[in-house]
Amino acid sequence: MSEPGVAFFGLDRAALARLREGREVQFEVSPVLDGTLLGALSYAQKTLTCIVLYVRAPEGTGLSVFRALEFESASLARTLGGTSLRYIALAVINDALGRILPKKGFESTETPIPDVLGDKGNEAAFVKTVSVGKEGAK
Amino acid sequence: MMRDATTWAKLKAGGATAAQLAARSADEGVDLFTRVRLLRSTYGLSLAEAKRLAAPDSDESEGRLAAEIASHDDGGLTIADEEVEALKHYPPYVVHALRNCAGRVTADPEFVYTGIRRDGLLRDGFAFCRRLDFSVDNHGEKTPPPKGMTFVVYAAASGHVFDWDWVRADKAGAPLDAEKRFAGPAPKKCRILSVPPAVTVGRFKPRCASYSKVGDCIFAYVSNEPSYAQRIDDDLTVFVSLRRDTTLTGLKLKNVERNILAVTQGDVKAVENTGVEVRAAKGAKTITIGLRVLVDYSRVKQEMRSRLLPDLTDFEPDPYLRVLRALERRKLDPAIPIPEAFVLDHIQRERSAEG
Repeated sequence: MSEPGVAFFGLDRAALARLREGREVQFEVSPVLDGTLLGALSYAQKTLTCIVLYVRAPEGTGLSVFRALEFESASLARTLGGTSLRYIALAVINDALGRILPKKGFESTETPIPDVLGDKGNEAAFVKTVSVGKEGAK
Repeated sequence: MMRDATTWAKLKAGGATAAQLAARSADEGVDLFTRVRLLRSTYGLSLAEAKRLAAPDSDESEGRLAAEIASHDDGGLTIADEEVEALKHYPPYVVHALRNCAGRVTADPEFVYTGIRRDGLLRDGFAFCRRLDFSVDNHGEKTPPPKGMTFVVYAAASGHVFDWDWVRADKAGAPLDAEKRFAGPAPKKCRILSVPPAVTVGRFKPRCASYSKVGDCIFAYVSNEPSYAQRIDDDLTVFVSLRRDTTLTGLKLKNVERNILAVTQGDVKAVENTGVEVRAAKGAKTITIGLRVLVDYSRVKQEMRSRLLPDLTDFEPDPYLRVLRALERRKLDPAIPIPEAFVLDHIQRERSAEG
């Protein structure tokens, strides 16, 4: 049986190993409740960083997709032995979402562009860090 | 990837604009990640510009997501900063339940009620209820959910969550006696719960009671055994072991402002029918909640007999009485600081030696 959070992100053993080594791993989750999530994961210093570049959520499924991501990424963080989880909503292009995210605890900031998306530099992003609790995890 | 790069190179050789290249490469099956990356490197676009070209539906999709969050959400929920510290002394399963269960309930409740107290600020508070397919133990491990129960999360109108428990439910999943507990049903809106990173599992201190100003209540756990909440009346809820229905693991005293905090001048007050003595010595810096046997427990016993142990004829010893006596024998004397709002001028807020 797959470890919690691993199957959701479609990570095979090699990808999981790369993640444990501190390297970035790209993910494309499709379909999630008929939606699509595209982004990258990285793990360092007990923190899993989940970068979301693109979310496609058919009408009526947006929150479910959003919650699935929250739940599964927290599970993955715990699977890796992490204690915190950092969400980065990268390159948000819809202003309405940009206004909603701060109400959900996201901070508007600039963050380095992940390697899997090309070169160096910073990009506007919304960032939130949460603790995933469980100490002494696997 | 190689195929994507080759496809891209062929398309680019035709002298296409960024928009044309984005569209054609999508038609050719180049994945979105690669399209974004190549648009950026080829045309020097920002990530947002590249995304807009590579995934023209992303603006619409993000807008739809925002609208859905806004229409289903009255605002986020969280834990008040001043109450985070106390959680470190709670049984670990309580903190794990906050992390793993509470957010799922508030995000997708089966029932929402308003009016969680008869008076005070919590008259406008909310209770979110949902049956879950798991519970959590003191290690944060998932366990089977207790049968016939629903998970309830209580929040003030300010959006601050102050309590979360398993409670007995009817067949539809609504808490038993919902009509007694709450003023009425409320619309089922989604509320996203953000648990501050500072909320962590600490060392359980069974001798340390804590006061929740948001919830106008006092929590006192005597055991870290995973438990459910059994409402006795408007002023008292007891926590009962999920494993053994005869073991009391703690209690919650409600309506503290009305019942307890009026005691500040050397009084000894028994909170009616709860068996809880509240003492405040003259000039004291703390109010001490002595869990003593002071009053008649007949109503509590009756309640527990009928509610908790309907089929058990041998009901001795009274679990409530037993725990309280044990506490007294061990000289356990949970104490809380007087909340600022009730501190007299000459009394400074200070945690007791026990705290």
